[in-house]
Amino acid sequence: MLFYKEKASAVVAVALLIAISVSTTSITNYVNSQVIILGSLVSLGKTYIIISTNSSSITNSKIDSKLANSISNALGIKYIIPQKVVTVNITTNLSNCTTILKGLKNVGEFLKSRNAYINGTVAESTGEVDVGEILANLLKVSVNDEITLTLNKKSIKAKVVGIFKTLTQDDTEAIVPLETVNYLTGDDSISAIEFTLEESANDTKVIERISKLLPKEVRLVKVQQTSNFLQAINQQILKFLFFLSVLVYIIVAIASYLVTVKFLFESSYELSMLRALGAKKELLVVLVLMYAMITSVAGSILGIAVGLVGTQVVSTVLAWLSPSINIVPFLEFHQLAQILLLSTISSFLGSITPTFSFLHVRYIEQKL
Amino acid sequence: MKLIRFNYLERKSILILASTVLLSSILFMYTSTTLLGFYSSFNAYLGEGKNIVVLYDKNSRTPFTGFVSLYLLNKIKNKPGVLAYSPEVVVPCIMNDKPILVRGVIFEDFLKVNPITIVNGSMLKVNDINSMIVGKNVAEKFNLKLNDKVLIFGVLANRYVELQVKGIYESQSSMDNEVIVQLYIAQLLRGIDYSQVTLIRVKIDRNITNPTSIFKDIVNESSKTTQLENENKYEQTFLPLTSTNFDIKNVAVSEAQNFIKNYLDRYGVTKEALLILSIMIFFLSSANIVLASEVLIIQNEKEIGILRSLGMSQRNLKVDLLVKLLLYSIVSSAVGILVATIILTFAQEYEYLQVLSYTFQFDPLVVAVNIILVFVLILATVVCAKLKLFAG
Repeated sequence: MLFYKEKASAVVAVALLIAISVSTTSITNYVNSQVIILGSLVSLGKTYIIISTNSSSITNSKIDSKLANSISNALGIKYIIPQKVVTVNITTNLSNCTTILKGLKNVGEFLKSRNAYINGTVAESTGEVDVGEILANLLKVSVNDEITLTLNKKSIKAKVVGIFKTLTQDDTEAIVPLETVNYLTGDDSISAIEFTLEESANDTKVIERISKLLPKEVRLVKVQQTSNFLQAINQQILKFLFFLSVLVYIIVAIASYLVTVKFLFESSYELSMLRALGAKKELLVVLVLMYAMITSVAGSILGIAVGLVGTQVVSTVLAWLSPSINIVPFLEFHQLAQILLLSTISSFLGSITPTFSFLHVRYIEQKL
Repeated sequence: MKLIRFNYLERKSILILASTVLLSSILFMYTSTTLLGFYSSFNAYLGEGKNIVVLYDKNSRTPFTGFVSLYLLNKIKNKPGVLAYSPEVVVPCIMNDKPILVRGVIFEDFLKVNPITIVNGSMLKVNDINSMIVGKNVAEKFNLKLNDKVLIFGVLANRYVELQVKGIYESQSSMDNEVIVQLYIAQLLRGIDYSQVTLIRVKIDRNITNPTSIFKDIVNESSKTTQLENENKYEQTFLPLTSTNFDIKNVAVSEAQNFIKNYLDRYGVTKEALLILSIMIFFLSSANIVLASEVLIIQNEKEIGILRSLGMSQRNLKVDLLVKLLLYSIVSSAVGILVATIILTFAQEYEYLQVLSYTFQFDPLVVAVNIILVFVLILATVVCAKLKLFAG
């Protein structure tokens, strides 16, 4: 009998290997889905900033102030805030510190966009400044106090007209009308444009339209990068799986080699008899390779079943033992097809060497 | 009983067995070390000493998404046995398009609980408001130097901050993969009020107090709603605090090393479970080792048969085979462990495998388990093998 009696053990050897790949992939699918669910619980912001391409920070960024006008015409924008951001030294009668000074065309509109609480009024002229609550506490300044803003040996005195709280980094900054910062820097460029989309706006379409308006020297960045973070986590999991799969399929190839060698030994009588009866070498090659392929496909199907059922059983038992554990492993159809294909290719590669080396053995050397 | 001095086993079949053991060992080592590495790194996240306890939000789904009131400090800070405390906000963020954990602390308190060494630059002072210190690994990974300015984007809130590097630190722990900032910067990135934090770490004297008595202290005083006392310590943080109530039902106290373990346990992730999973993977791939051993015996059937016909007993031949195969297998297994270690070290070095704070850790337990498993498999295969006489 050509199909030797220990075929079951060969199928099991391949099946167990495929079960590794299937179980880890199905658990990883569950983990990934949980990461996505956790991510979806976070409400996503609709704020974006435009800064110069070659800059990693806003204070080092420089963009054309006219750009804000062209973007402001785009539909779906709730707020657009062109801003000039510099690092200045702030001196008071009691203390001093280095912090960020933000120059804005319309300070009132900006504070409104931040849902700010303000003690005092909005800075509207060159000699006025609004100070963030944390910065005010640090400098021990109150409304109506005077502070000095210094940048590159150029100074300007300003009266604190308001102290605000926004729960953003602005609470550690000072805010003035744009002219004040232009006076300190000596130019009228801006650092960044921040804009927020309307709740009802289709983000993809609006951003696509805005991107078309942007020159190469600037880049658009989304402020809340939840999806980037989740993608980075998923990428790491996929990399782990990729290397694991590579190892598994190399072992599948070796398993196939061993299965073929064992098959050739066990069936050498039948194969030699076929040769003696006039069968061509090509027929024997096809027979042996077919055997390896059938073993591999059967092993893969069994492995998929074992892997899936095994993980389901383990997760169910874990759920019984500890109700807080609720793992639902699953496998997608394209992953099934991928596993079957890769295991068949690995098996084919593994079985080629012993098949051809067996057929190179001369007829008289073959065991009868 | 003497071993046969000449090598009657075919070199090719030995090579196949050795390759199979090698690959199975790499697979086992890769799986177990990666999984246990993640597990250990996360568990050691807040310190491993039993004298560090954590106050946290037990209802949150992940260790870093819950928050507790900063006012909890009032309930415990003057209790006997409390040596130091550190309110912290840990927030996942994106910096230069890569994920990073940002830890907001009150530096004066934090350093009493978790000393770190500045290797370049300086520690943040209270008036370094838009600054940060970065871990040694972060500085390398992001190519950051002193005074560099970077934008950090929020993941859990629609916020961003621009910070300047003031120092680079070393902690000899997974904290080297983090950025440390003033508490309020992390609160902004997390999108929470200044009176809320992710957790409070407390350093205790174990001879005087423990997590249970700390929890009792909080419960006993929770009925009294108090504002954070106007002590100089908190004025120095410049936090614009407002009075808030907190629900004691949401608060839990646990040893630092059990804090993340409790979260992982909820999802069935324990050290034992991960080790068993790795052993299962090894066993699933070990069918190949058995197959390779069988093929080796089949391929050397003629030589074994001749030795049997010359009068060598089955028992002696099995012992001889066992010694030879074990030698090859254990050497292959050791090479597999070495190869896997090199691969994992490179993977970590080149950021191929690095989720936030993952640190590759060489675990002697994994090596021992691997060698024992190989030993058992080869022993079982040889003992069960039938060594026939030479049949011509």
